[in-house]
Amino acid sequence: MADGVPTWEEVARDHGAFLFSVAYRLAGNADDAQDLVQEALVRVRRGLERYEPGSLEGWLARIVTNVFLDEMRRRRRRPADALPDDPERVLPTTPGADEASQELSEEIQHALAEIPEDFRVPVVLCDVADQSYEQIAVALRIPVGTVRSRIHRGRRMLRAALTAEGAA
Amino acid sequence: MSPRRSEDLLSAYVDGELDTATRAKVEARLERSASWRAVLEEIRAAKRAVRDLPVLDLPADAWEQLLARVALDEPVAAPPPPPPVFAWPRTWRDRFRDRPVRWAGSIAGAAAAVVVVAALVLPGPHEITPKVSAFSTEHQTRTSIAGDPVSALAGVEMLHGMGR
Repeated sequence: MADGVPTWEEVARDHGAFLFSVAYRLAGNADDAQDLVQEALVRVRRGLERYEPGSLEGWLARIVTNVFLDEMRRRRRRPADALPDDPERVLPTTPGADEASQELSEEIQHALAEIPEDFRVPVVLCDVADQSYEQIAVALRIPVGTVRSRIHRGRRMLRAALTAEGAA
Repeated sequence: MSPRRSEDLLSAYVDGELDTATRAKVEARLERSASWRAVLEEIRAAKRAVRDLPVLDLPADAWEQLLARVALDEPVAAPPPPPPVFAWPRTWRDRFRDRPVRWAGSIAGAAAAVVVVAALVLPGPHEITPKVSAFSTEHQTRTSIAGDPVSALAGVEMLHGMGR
């Protein structure tokens, strides 16, 4: 690391799991999450020279979110590439997690995946990537008031879905 | 502010995104409203559920695929530009020494062009140059001697034209 700027290898090694977690919560399945992480790390590699030391995970979260949004736009243009709604796409095994918590995580993930993208993305950026409303507004190019509204409605949808599944 | 928009403040309240004055208003309303307190608990539970989701490890085979993918994107470093070198202006002699064949061709071409132009402009040996004044004088002299008054009066060029 020079002048607070990590090397690409350090980012991949130390923050790969963080990137994969955010990608998984956004995409809802491991295969797509892995693709998102790959593309995000390629962009990280290209843009590392421009990185200004600060919140590295915030920067990474914005990159993987942009990759996800680009992919969603691409799939909207080409509906044949849309993700199948496959219930067998289950959560990757979490090391050290017991069976009950693993099951709960799967229920929450399933409920999260049911929320429309416009509401899911701000919720994930806020609660998984720990981004401020201002940062989310910049990343999604929407007003802060819209971020606040979408996060609130997204959480209420999530709560309703969890209640319906009996997870809450 | 509409009830729905004011309820949005509860998420912002949970996330610590309100200024002091707005936060005080929300807290005052929470004290008065049981329904707001119920919504607040829902919001807190939803946030907790997502925030407490485990951090996931990359799949075991992800690294190999990742490295292969990144290798495809390997940027090709452009060679540094050579430093500028000062060079004296080249003389004609230098230029001829560097490319003698090319110069020989140029010279041969120029010579051929000169020959063609000369052939077109200069008179050739087969060409007749009539010496009109001498011919006329001789003719007039001869006809005067013959004593022919008509021929003596007519111009040589006219006679020549009438004979065609």
